Amino acid sequence: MEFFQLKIADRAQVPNMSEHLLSHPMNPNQAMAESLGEQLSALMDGELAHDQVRFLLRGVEAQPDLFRRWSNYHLVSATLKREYVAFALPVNFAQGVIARLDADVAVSAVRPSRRVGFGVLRWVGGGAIAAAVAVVALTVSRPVGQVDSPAVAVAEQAPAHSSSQPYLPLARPLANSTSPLFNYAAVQPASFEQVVPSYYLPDGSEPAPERIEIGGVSYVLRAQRPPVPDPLPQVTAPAQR
Amino acid sequence: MGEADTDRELVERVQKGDKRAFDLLIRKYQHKIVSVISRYVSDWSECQDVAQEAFIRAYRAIGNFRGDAQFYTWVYKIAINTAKNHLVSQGRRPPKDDIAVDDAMLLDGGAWLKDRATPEHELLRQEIEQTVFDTVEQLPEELKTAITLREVDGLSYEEIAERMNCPIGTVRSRIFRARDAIDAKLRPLLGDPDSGLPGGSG
Repeated sequence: MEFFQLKIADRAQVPNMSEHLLSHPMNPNQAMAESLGEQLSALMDGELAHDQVRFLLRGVEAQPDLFRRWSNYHLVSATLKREYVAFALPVNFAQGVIARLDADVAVSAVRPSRRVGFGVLRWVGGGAIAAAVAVVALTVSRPVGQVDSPAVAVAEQAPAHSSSQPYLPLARPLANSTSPLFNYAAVQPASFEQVVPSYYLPDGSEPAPERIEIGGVSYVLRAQRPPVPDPLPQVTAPAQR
Repeated sequence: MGEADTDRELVERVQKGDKRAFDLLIRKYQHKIVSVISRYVSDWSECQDVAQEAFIRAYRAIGNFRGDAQFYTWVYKIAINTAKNHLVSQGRRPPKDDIAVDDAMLLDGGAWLKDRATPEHELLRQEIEQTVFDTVEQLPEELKTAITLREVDGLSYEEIAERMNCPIGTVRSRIFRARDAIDAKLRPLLGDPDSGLPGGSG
């Protein structure tokens, strides 16, 4: 294996590289791992520059051992601070959570914003969504303006849309719900842009479309105002005698 | 950039869909969250399941996290609610009083946890603690001072640099090297997924 000595005349040119890394011979992979490890350590202490975090996260993905180091650094920190921690966690605990998130098609990585004001959507079903052309419709039951309690959503898998059918509002209002409904939210492949939002927020503005990811496919979610129900029959009060 | 900023930075990444950042947040807080949940759910295996569920809920709701509170405080509350919901779903009654977030991890507050730990867990915990402190003792003086000023005294790199009369880059390097040295000693105890060692699985 070929080793080389890093030769940097001016350390100011490489502010992210420490004295240790500059003075110890190592191969390029080792040097990169050490550099990322040092950045990870600095991130842990809140001492990593904002613009370096994204670079670090890319590097972490390429070197999974850095995840393990990060765990242990925190364990060391907690121990030195005399915190009591549950040491007996499986080493792959975090991996297990991420694997469940990856496998769970019901998880939406992007939540509705506060500005939109209709809180949490929950996605259910759609396990066998076909390729990138599946269309999903869902119904969201949500009192207008209520923010904190989660909304209930029902998603249904629909047949793949054809060019002649821009979207399929298949969802139905929830049974037994007495609250006002945001209805017929349609989910489209992200490249499909022809769904026109047809409801507005209380302040009159149009809600921003939401992007979600299901099964590795990106979708645009837009909601529509529920159809106006038929007017109730007029009941005439009996004439007073 | 402070420690709270680190969490905020990672949360922002997660909100943009970066699961690597969420992985780092889980690993940062997993032990604390499991410890808190274990106050409500005594079965260790159940406790880990509830902790995983809590993190999944946190991920699903992270779009609503606006940074008014610290991330740990936020996820701590999710963990407690998840634990309580779990108890209710099992037909058990959750305790009325919650544990204050600040008290949850202190050693004194952890006495309750200690009492409930299995002998194997407690033995491993003590072994790890001993290894950490022994390794720190054996570190070269400049590494020992740097890691102690950081972890025990909570000084920033700038403050440590002033104390140790050296550049900030050197402080950063010393702290990293100290952590790395301790990690090397801990690895056989905690297990390495790549090595196939069972480590701390309990």
